[in-house]
Amino acid sequence: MDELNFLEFSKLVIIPRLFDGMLITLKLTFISGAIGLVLGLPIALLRLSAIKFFSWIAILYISLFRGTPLLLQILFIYFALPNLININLDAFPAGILALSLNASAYLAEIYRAGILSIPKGQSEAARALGLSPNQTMFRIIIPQTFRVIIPPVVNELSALTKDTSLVSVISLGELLFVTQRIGAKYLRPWEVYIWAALGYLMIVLILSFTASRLEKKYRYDH
Amino acid sequence: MIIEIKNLKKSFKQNEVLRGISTTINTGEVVCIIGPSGSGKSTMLRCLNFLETPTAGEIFFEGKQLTNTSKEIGMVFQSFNLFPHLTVLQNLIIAPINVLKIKKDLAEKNAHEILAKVNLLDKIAAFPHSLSGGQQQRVAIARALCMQPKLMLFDEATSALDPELVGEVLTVMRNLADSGMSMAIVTHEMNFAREVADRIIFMDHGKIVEEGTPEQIFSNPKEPRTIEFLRNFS
Repeated sequence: MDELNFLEFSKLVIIPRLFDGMLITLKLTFISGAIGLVLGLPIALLRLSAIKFFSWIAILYISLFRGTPLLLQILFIYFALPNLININLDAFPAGILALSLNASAYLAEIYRAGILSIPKGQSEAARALGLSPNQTMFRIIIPQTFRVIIPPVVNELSALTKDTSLVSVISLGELLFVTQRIGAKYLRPWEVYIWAALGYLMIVLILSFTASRLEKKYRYDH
Repeated sequence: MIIEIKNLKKSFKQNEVLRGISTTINTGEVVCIIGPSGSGKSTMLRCLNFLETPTAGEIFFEGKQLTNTSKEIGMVFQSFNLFPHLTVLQNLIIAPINVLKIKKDLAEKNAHEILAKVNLLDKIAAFPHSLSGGQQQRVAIARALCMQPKLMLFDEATSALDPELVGEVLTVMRNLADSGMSMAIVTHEMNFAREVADRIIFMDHGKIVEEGTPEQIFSNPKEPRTIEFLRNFS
């Protein structure tokens, strides 16, 4: 194999396997990202609740997932949960669970910042018109946060994309795991890492592109 | 009598902003509240629809004690507070549809009529950011009117406007007053107050210092504090 140059080695050995890894990385990113986005909002609303008990639960949750390493959370869910409460998860669902819970903690804080950024006059006007607190939150405040939170959400989802590589520690065949193995097998590390880097870069670039389209859509001067 | 205020008090922490306000507004009456900044005018107005919760005192609206925001009291703010993510029409119909449970086509029909009254029918599909301050404030007035309120509160509705845009908003308010709407107006526009008000309330340091007809207050004020305040305007 040594006589193969970079392009030949890439074409014959890396790329065919790269797609499998890439597919798993994409699945991890999009499924965990979606769950994180859905789960983050109720956590943010709990965090903002006037009822102390609710906001404390949210603070506890956010502190837990933001205050411990994601790598540890992955290992805990995969290796410790079976011992602790007899829940055995395969590598893929375990990875999804760890990544979604972790992302939801960060996304909850982004939602909260978005909600707090809307001027008080908006909720006062809604209240003066007779809209209920729920109607005010879901029809007036939250729709206005989209515009504000797109950049930090993309930031978080980019971080999540790259964090999926941590799931390789539980032997899930995602992008980094697959490429690393080829590198070790053929003793050609730099080629494989370049391809792995390109893989992650591509996903993040697609994300950023989608985000800039969305930002244009939610701008007021359209 | 549309509203009766009895010994209204409001404190923020140690700071006593309203120190016992008692007055009434009759149905169809236009009351302008004037006074130096920090006198508690805006706080009093905001207490009337419970954007601030009074520390003490009672407010009766059509004989019933108010304990929360009433959908029959409309409010116009200094900073307009239109919903920027909604078009003018959507701003106008969101509350009628969600609060009064009016059908969408009827709400839109009402919105058209009211928008025509504030002379902004051509802006019905526009977003607030594309409107001038004066236009935004007229939309805000129309939005409040779409809830068919029995009393309208104006909290320094023209203070954030460029001078050349004040007139168009005052015209809308004048027309509203002429149509028989009960109104409480906090304002710094003394000429407007004098012309449109049935009664003037002069406030200072959280109290009503003097009240009476525009003629009494502006031409023949009794209290030294009123005389001193009005001197700045002549």
